[in-house]
Amino acid sequence: MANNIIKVNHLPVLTWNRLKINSSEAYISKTSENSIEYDLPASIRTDSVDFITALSEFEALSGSVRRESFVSGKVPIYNEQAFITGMGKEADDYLASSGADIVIIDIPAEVNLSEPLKINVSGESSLFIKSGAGSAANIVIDAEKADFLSVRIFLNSGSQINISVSRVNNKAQFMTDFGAYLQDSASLELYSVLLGAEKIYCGIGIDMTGDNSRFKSELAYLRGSGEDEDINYNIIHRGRNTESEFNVRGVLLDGGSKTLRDTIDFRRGASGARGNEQENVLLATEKENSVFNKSVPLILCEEEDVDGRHGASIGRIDPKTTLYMESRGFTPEEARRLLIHGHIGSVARSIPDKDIYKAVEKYIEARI
Amino acid sequence: MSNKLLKINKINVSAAIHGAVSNTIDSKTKTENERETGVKILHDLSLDINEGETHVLLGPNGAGKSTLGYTLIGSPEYVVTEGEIIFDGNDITHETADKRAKMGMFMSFQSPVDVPGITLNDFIKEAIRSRTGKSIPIFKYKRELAKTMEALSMDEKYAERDVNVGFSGGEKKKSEILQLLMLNPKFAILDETDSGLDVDAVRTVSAGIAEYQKRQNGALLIITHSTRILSSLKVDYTHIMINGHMAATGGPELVEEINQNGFKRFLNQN
Amino acid sequence: MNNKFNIDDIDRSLYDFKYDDKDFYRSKEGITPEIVQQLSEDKNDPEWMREFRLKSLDLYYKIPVPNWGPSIDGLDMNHIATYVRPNTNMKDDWESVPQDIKDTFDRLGIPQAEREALAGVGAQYDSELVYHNVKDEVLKQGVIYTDFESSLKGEYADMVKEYFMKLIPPTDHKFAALHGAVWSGGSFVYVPDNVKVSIPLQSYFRLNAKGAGQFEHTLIILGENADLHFIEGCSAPKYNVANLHAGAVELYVGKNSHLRYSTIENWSKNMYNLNTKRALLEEGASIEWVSGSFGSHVGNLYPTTILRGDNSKAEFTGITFAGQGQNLDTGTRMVHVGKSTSSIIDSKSISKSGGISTYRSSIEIRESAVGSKVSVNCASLMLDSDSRSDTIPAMDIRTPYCDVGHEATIGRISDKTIFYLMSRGIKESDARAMIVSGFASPVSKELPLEYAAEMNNLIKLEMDEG
Repeated sequence: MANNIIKVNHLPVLTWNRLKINSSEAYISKTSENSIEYDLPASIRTDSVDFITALSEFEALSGSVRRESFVSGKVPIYNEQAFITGMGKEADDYLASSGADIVIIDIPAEVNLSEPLKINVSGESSLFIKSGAGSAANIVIDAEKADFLSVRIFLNSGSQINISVSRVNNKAQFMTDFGAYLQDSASLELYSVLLGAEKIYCGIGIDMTGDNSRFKSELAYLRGSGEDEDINYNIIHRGRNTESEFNVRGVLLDGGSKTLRDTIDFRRGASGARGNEQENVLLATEKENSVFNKSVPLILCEEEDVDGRHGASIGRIDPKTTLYMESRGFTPEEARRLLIHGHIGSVARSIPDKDIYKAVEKYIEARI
Repeated sequence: MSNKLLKINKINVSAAIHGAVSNTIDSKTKTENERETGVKILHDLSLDINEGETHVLLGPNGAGKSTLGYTLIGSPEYVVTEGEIIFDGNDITHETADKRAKMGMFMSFQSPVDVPGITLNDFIKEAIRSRTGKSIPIFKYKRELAKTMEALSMDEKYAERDVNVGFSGGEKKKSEILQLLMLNPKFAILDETDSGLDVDAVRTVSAGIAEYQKRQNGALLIITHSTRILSSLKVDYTHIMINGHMAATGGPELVEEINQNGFKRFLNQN
Repeated sequence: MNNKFNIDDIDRSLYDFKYDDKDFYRSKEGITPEIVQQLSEDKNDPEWMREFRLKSLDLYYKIPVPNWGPSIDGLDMNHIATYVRPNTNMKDDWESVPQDIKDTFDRLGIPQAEREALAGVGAQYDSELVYHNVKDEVLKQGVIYTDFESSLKGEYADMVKEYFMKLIPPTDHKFAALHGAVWSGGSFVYVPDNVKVSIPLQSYFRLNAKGAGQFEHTLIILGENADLHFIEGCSAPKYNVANLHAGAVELYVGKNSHLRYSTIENWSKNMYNLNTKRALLEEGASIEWVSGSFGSHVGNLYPTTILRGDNSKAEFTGITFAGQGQNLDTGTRMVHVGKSTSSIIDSKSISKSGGISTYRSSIEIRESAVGSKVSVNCASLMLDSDSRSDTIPAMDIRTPYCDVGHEATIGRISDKTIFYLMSRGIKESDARAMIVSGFASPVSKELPLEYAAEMNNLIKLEMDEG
């Protein structure tokens, strides 16, 4: 599929064009056959439909009135979709026409799945997941053979979903687009460890519509020579007492490049909301002029009664930490390896699948 | 007869001025003599410590006590501009920290850093493996770790937590003493180990240090400006540091004198 | 004279402005080449300046309005000619100054003569006198401090020509181009090597009676080992019938020199404040920006520092208070080029009564800026849920040898703190005002006492206004 270019990862509010961070352009590349493999218990309904039908169903759930182009009546924001995702509308348009495999997964109300749902995706796929009120599930997505993975989740009241997406693969490109709507007291945890692939595009859009809903996320990356990662997080707090927390931890080796846009958006009425976003970039190379890091930690707010915090820390391994480790007998090289493993490992550990964790550790070891 | 474990011979220590690429390119390509230095902190300092001895270093705030500790463990923040440090027969004056640790040195830090992503359990296991060069039997290690944590009244859950991340001040200090007991060095520097601890924690940590004194003929340099932690420890020598100079050396009775009269007597000497 | 700067070395890519041709503006927008020509003749510009103005005007027509930031739809571009030729339509008598402005003068305790000067109407008797005294003091030190028009003709004419609009070229953005075409008034300051100016210079004394100050150009050049504190404006509201302020401030800080540039901006609430300020630092140089933004209807203000020389330092301390009807988009840009450069940003913003306050920044660390350190701290205070506060920071880092820390928080005045103050007998509204003043203290404590006092008064006024 040559010459397919889509604009993705839009900053909700524009800034200086010369910084070239308002959005990114992605070339689509497909290298594997499409397939979605899963082993679901009988109680969970799945459907295979076309993209437009599935999307319409989910847009009806999220309420198409959500589309707004101004906040506070004056500030223009990007929101072209009725069901928000991190990458934006053009990704949807592409999926509608590309023949990706589609599946709708419906977890019934009050069902609590003890075993993790493991899903293997390949090529281009789009998952639509609905969790019924009070249900709970653990979903583990293995995206090793994926080119483009799109996931949409609608969480009904009180439901809890833990989802992890991992990928350890050296293919040329990987794109993943994520969108979720949380109703009252719903809770979503998302862990992503995206390694390998020369170019990775990752978009995550979360609409915390319901009161007391919670979103927690951790994402880890490692980029070396010729590799780029382009991430867009957009977390909207609408309901009261909503809480969001996320951590992005990454390592840039020689030649590594990465762009992270992360937005916490407090809408009027989200009183009692709390948002905490932290980014931590380890510049782990000795070569001068060899990294490319863009960080855009946005906070948008039109509600007084909130607590928002945003931190970004970009730098090398702290000499104090190295001294501490050396004083325990680790050589500087051993210390460096351990810290890089730890930097990413602290996210990888949250993935409830030992095999994936081992694959991640093995990959990192090979890279450093 | 005790063997001289540590000989510090008339060292002068200054703060290092970091180049643009602090602690990386600069400290690797430049020898100690070439590094830029700033303020001199320690002046003509000498000190001998034998195997099994416990030395206490007291002095008012800003005396330079911690600087001595950091210099001994090999921190790149300080440069020895004159003099030498001999440890276990080796000249370690300009040696890197990890080499000193492998030779049997250890430091319990006043403000231990967070080491995210590595559990306390894994950290200690790796450190032991790194030092001894061989794999340790897992079962024996786990038993040893559990026993030691219990002796320090440390909840076993801390073993699976990332090193120092989210630990209270007291737990961090216990984590340092836990490492001391598990790594069993020949010589340990304890920098302000009792700062920020409540009464019970001081007692526990103190007991941990006493255990270290007993186990291996380990030597200790206890740096402190209060004497709480010393109450139940055997002390062989006491040193008073004022403004980067060694103002006095005496036996354990000096501790009691400081308790009664403070440092007044020594302040005028400089 | 000592001239250690290589203007041509300024990296053009720093000012790369690419625009989309589809927004090509063809209209003359109220300013014609004839008007500019006339203006130039009235001022007796040297020939090069006349050409410069006309070229800038051309750029002004071509460059589109930015697609980001607060809307400037309310700005009447068709009547810009009016602002340039103030005598034509502007009223210049005390009677036509709006009542709320007159009231503010009252509450701030500003004496009659000063009020009229600030309103751009009266004779500046008192201020003239003070101004002359200051001038003599600094002249003794060898400092040059003149109005900008004179600097083009006097003994420093060549120097000024060399530096003029090189740091902020007309290509930079639409209102830099406009500035290049119709600039008028402003100051030129030159501090020779090794001179430390003992008293702060204040541009307040340069205010012309005839409603000028909209397009003033400030050029400050420090030699080596020099020191200067420059205070722009004052905290009383500047009333203007005209509603566009597109001034430019260019600051050159020589080797090992230090400049402190303080501004309390309190333009009247109908103003579009599109000011551009930029500083270029040589080796070992340092600058402190102290900035309080209280006025204007719409503000776009991003003091920019280019840390070109090794070991140069920049500090930015700012507060922005957006009240009813205001949309203030402010922040700072730091461009690290030299080695071991460092910048510290401490920014506070407050939004109230429907105001919109945006903190917008960009930190660029170039490949060459090995060993740079940056620390950013932005805090936003929301005083109600009618208002808005956005934080839009960007960091672009190209070297692995740097250390960047960024912290941003947003929230409200803590109930616990209000309660604590009330339990000491302070009434609630006063407690709130105290807390907000405390929030703004990093700025007020960097200002000379009378400015800090006026700033705190301003805050109190803002808090009182329902």
